[in-house]
Parts: sequence; structure tokens; C-alpha cells
Amino acid sequence: MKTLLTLPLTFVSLTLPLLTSANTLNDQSPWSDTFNGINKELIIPNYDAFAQSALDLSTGIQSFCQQADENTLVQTQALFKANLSDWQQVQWLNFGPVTLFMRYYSFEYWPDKKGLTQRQLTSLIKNDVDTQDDKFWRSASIAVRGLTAIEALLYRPQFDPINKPEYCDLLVQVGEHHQQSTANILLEWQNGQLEDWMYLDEDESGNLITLSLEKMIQQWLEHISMVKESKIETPIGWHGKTNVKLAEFYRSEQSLVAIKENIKLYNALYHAGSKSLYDMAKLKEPALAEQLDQSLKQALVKVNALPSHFYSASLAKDERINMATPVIKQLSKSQNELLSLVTKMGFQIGFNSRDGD
Amino acid sequence: MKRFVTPIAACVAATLLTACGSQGVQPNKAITANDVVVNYSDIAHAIYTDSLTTAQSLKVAVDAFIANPTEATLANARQAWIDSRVPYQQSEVYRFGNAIVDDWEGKVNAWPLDEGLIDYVATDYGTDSDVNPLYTANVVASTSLTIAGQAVDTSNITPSLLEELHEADEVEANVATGYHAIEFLLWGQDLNGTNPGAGERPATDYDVNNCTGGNCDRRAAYLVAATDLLITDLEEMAANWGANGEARQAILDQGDKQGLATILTGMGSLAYGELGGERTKLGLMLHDPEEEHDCFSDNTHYSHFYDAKGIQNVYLGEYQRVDGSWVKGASLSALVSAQDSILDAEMKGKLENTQEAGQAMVDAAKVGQTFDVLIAMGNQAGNQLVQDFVDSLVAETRTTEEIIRLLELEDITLEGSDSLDNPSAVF
Repeated sequence: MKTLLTLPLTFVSLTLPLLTSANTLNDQSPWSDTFNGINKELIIPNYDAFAQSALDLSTGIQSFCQQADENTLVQTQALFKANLSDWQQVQWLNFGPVTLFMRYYSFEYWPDKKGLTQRQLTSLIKNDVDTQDDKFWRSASIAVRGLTAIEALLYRPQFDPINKPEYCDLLVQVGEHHQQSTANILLEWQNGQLEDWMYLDEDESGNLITLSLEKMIQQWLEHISMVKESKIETPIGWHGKTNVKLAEFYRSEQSLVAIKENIKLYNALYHAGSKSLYDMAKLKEPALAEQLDQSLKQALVKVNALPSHFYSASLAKDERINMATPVIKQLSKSQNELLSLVTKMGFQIGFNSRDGD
Repeated sequence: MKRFVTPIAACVAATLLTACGSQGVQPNKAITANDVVVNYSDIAHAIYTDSLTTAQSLKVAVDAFIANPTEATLANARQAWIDSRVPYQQSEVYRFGNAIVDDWEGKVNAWPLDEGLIDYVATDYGTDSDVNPLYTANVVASTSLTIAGQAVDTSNITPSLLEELHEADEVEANVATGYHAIEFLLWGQDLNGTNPGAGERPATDYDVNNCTGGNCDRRAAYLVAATDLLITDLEEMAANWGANGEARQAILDQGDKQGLATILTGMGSLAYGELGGERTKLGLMLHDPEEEHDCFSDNTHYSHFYDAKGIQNVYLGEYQRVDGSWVKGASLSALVSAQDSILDAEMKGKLENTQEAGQAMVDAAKVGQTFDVLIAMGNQAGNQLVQDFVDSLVAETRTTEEIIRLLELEDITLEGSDSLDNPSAVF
């Protein structure tokens, strides 16, 4: 996917909490209620859930490593899947606190075409690196952090944490760091200032709330492309060779689950808050607003129709493509409608959707 | 107006451009977009011709090495490879925006590669990959391979075989041809991680009478075939930018505005998405020597420096050839200056800042802090040096965007990079 260049904008002296109040400058934005609604009813609760399940996972990993056997491994894997599901609810948004300290990329390093996670985790043990030192995590590679590393340690046979305590110890450290990151981000979403994440260029005018919402919508559009292209088309060989190992979280067999969670999120995002995007769209573009609502719902129906073994090696390429086509088409339709709708509502989105899907 | 600059005529042409009549751009005559596009094409031709001649010099050195494989002849071949990178890296600004170049580029400069496709590797490399069934295929040691279920006869290593193996099984990391395949054959794997030191392949890997690593004759055949193929490929691209070449014609046919858009697409995409993002910033995020562009030779500092130099060349409308002569002509800088001299000065300043940041990496490499050492985890000073380079590339791209607006060019898509979404926030 080719993305339009978006450079960080420079600072202007506005101070707004992420969750803005009624008497602040954001009142100048017609989108303040919508923005606040998305923050309050979607982003913060989703980060809360992500942080909570990360804590559960970290605690579970510690218990597992104290008594590592097949049963406790399965229990820990279940906690991993729960946390992964929560990640899929916030993955669309590379905005706000998650952008600091490479945390967005640290939660998931994918696709790992060069096998860096495997090699770097091995190297940490081989070189006896002190991963208990905070300094290590301040500059550690994104390939050895977060869900990607945890999945590798829990599912790759070579790491075998039941019989290799050194890898279990490493798993504990990765899990703790992951949990701390999620907790910090939640705290920063709750207490941070909008100006920490959004700036206006010196020669740029506009309302920070409106621009922030615009950026969020752009990221939503880009995430739909990511789901279509990286999560579905590439691994199933839509444009070339099939390689289901390129699917997201294929080792834990969560590739399809992740997509379902993403599309569920799209529906929730459209309706988040008392003056949701849907509500606002209904006022200005009622037909298109309804059309998009139906499209997003249909996307969920169609992805739910995919069989659980969709990414398994047993399916033929053509068979898999035939199954995926309705989902891809529905996502493209939703994406086009979303772009058209928000453009008509006054947002300036620098986004090129791909032709031909 | 079309001018054709040959290596021999370069000095003469440069003089004509500044001193005389109808063939050049006169100081008093307003520079047109067409003038800029023509000069851009002339520079391309000179750069690819220089890339070709330095590749031919590399071939001479490779032949001498194969005939008499000693550490001295190996060192000569390595130096010839390093020299060949100087013009080639300056050509990379032509890749984005010119479809003919972009479609061809993968044959000569594909990166990163799974070197186990080509030759023996250390155990740390691993034995398998999620995405590449040929991860350790080892063509040098194999007289036949099975690729996508089909048997492939690899008993004779020829340029055509390498073309067949390139990106085999639709895996991009199966780089069988080009600069980096040759680099691997000359240096071998760099097993020093993020510590100082490059690949240390011994010359005896090519000594059939005292062979190390096995299959010395086949390794030599691979090196010769890959170098021959590089020459063939560069001949093709040099011709594409010649008087009646396809690439030159394609950009001239686009019309003035689109021609300028192509130039700026190349500048912005290389600076931001490719060089700043994929080749540099990602290295900082992963702290991994695999993220080094010239990872076998540890020549990345120069590759990055000359990549950035290529962007500056295109803006200033000039290029210093490997023989020291200059190709100069109508520049984008002059065109911008005619409308907004402050913006032009800003762009020149940003490009110079990038050169200084690139030079700082070159200077560091000279005292052992090569790119792979600079990006190491915990090397805060080194990380900062690399970050400075990234920041300068981002800054120059911001000004490139302003130039795009000034010239009222539309539908320009610059290559983005996930790793650069918020670079100032990372450190």
C-alpha cells in the first residue's frame, strides 16, 4: 500500500486534555462531542480492557513459569489470546500515547519476513542479556517486545518454555514489560493533553479537535486497507503465491479471529458516543450514512461466514480466494463509502484507496 | 532541446551550458520545466553510464581475483565493488516515479536478501524461514534444486540461471543477482553482530587448489556470472536514458508538470519512505545488523551518503562524474528560485544539512563505528547520529512538499514509512 506522506506538524500553544470538557477551546469544533464520545466510550474502555488482559497475561505467565507443564501452558495461551483480542480493538489507532517510545510497533512487529523475533530472542539468551534491567527495555528492539515476542515464546517449538527455563524467564520479562506499557498508555489516555499528540503547523489554521478526528478517520481508512491487503490478500495469495504463514498471528491460529475483532471495532467506532459519526452523518448525508452502516454490518456478516479453518494449509488457493472475495469486496465498499461520507462532511482526508478490489 | 552527455564530452558540455548559445541554458533566459527535465535525463544518463563503467572495472578486478585468488586480489575486488556503489547509489533518486527504473531496479539492488540461497552460512543464520522455502538452498553447493515443486538444474551457473533464481518461488528475499549478491560473495556474512567488523570471507573460498567452504569453482562461476549480469543490466539502463532511450522519452512525453512531478516524487520518496524509513529508521527500531543496507561489507554509511547526494544532485541539476567532470544544467533549484528564492534557499540548506548528517556517519565509520555499530542497542551516541540523519531527511521532505505546492503539482504520492509516522517521539 502506498500511503500519502504525513509529516509531524509543529506546535501551537493550545492545551487541551485528551478528554476535553465543555468549557474549553474545543467548543469551537462542531466535532467535539463526537471526538469526546469516541475517546470516552471506545478508546479509553478498549485500552482499559487491553491493559487489564495484559495484566492477567503477565500474572498468568509468572504462574506458568513457576509450574510449567502442558496444562499451565494452555491456560497461559488462553490469556494470550484474550489479550490479543483486546489489542485488535485498539490496533487501528496509531495516535496518542501509543506513538511514544515506539510502543505501537512494540505491541506487534509484523510481518516478520526475516525471522528477526526468533533470532533476536535466541540471541538474548545466548548472550545472557540482562532483561531484568530497565535500561534494556528502554532501548530494546521492537522485535523482542509485546505480543509478537510472547506468541513466539509460547508457540514456537524451539523455545519450549516448559523445558527451557531460560526462555520462561525471558517470557516473564517480556510479559511484564508488555503489561507496563499497556498500563502506562491507559494512564496517559486518561490524563494526557491533546497537545502532546497533535500540533498545528506555524502557517496552519484549524481546530485541534477537528484535525484530531480527521487523523483518526484517516487511520481507520488505512486500517481497512491493512485488513484487506496484509491480513487477507497477501497470505492467501490474492496477487501471488499463497503463504498462510504470512497471516497475522498464524502460530496461535488467531488470524481470522483478529479480523473479526477489527470489523466489530469498525461498527463500534461508527456508533461511539452520543453524537457519533453515524449520528452526525445522518444529519447531513442520511442516505450515505445509512448505506455505510449497512455495509459495515454486512462486512461483519461476511467475515463471520468464513470457516474457522480459513487459514489452514488444507484449503486450495482458489477455494480460499473464492471464500475471501465477498469479504474483500464488502470492506472495499465500506472503505469507499466511508471516504465519500467524511469528505462530504468536510474532512480533508489524504488517502488513496486502491483500485481494483 | 535534447542534449546527450557522454563521458568524454562531459566537461565540454558543462562549459557549453554556462557559456554559450542555443544548446545550453543561458543565464538570461528563463529556465523552463522542460529544460529541467532534459537536464535531469542527462544526469541520469551520466550516472548510469558511470555505474556501468565502474561495474566493468569491478569485472576486471573479479576476473583477476578468480585467476589468482589471494587476499590482495580479493581486497582489490572489494574496493572495486565499493567504488561501483558511488555512482549507483546516486542513481536511486531516479527509481521512484520512473516506472522503467523501478521495474528494473530489483535486479541490481534488491535488498535485504536471504544469503543462504546463494552460499554457505553460519549456524546462527538458522535453517528455515516462515516465508522462504529456499532460505538455505545454497546454489553454490547444489547442482539441482526444487523450486515450487519443480526441479531446476543448477549444474551450470550462468547469468540466465541467476535470472531464473532471482526472486525464486515469488519470495523477494531470494536475491540471486545484483550488487548485494556480489557483495555477499566477496565479503561473506558479517558475523560480528553490532560490534565492529565486516564479513571476513577468505580468498581461499575461491582457490580450487586450496579450497575453503567447498565448491570453490562453482562459487567463482557464481561471482563471474553475477558480475556479468550486473553489467548487462546497467547497459540496459544507461541506454534507457540515452538520446532515444525509453526512460528519457517516457518522462519527456509526460509534459512539463508531470515531468517535474516525477522528479519530486523521486526526491521525496527516496528521502522519506525508503532512505529515512526503511533503510535507516527501521534499523534504529530493531537494532539489528540485518537492517543494514550493505550488511556484508559495512559500506552502508557511503551508500546512504550517496543516496542523499543523489537527491541533492537532482535538485541542483548537477552531478560530478567518477572522472571528476561535471554535468550541469537547468535545475529545479533555479525554477523554484524564480518563484520563491527563500524557499529555494531553505531547500538547499536542508539538503546540505542532510549531507552533513551523512558525512557524520561516514566519519564515524572511519573510526570503526559503522552503521551496524551505530544502530546497536545501548549505543546512545551512535543512535543519535543515525537519528540526526533521519531527521534531516524528514526535514528536507517537508520542504519538498512545500515545493510541490509552490509548483502547483498534483497527484504526487510520496512513499511513506510506518517507522516514520512520529519520528521525533521515538527518542
